[in-house]
Amino acid sequence: MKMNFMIKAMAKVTAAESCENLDEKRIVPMMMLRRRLTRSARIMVYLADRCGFSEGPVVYGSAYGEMQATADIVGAIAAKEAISPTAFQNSVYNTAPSYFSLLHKNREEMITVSSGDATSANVLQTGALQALIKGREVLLVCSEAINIPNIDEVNSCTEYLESGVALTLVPTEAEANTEVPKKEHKGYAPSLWAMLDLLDACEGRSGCVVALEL
Amino acid sequence: MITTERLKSELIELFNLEGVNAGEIAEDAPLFHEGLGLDSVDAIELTIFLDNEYGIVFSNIAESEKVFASIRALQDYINIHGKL
Repeated sequence: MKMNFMIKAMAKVTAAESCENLDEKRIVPMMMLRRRLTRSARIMVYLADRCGFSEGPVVYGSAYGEMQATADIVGAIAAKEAISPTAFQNSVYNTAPSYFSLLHKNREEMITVSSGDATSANVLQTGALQALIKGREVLLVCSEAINIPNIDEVNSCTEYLESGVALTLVPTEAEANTEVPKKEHKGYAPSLWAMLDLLDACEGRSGCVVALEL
Repeated sequence: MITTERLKSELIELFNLEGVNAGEIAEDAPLFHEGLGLDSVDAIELTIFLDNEYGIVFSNIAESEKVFASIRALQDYINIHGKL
């Protein structure tokens, strides 16, 4: 079953190694919170800011999750050292939306999805359902931050080691006016492709309405 | 022997205290809450750091509370009990 949704805002960020100028000091003025942000969290709060979204339900997705914190934990275990509590709390998949909710005191529902290459497709589906159930604007974010030491030993297909994509959508009675063709987004982690398809289709268009599978 | 400046620098790096200069940290100010503003997660982080870097392991919480009271108390404890 398909329903129509209006894309209200969109944003994207990408870098071969590390995304610069994420405007953290303005977006996260509290240094004691900012100091703990992971790369994924920095990307997420930046994208949400670009979308003008701070209050409301969120669906976040990442195939690889918090790679640096996970690597820190594995490194500590290998070295027979105690595990850093900061690395531990930052290693979970919902780290980025958790910091986002702390930053904005947003108590709305936050859903985290991780399903490999299908992650952003499932974020779109979950986000559409959330928007329909709650009858309001929902923020959807997918990001990957795999820029960790020695990543080249296992990565040969993802050119952009940090990247993220975000959009907000609302259910609408309006007719769909935009087709969303599936494309290969070379260099990006495949987990982002479905949302990149949507961004490409709606880029430069206001009032973009798409039919999404529920 | 660890100097005050070196300890402050290590804490700034450990806790990623972005924008904080060593000179801004008072030696007798509390490390936690109203002083440097560290929290309970930082307390565990500091405990692990002292073990890894200086071989210091506290035998009880009361002892660590005294040591964590200020930069000066921590520095004194490291210089007496730490493996430098």
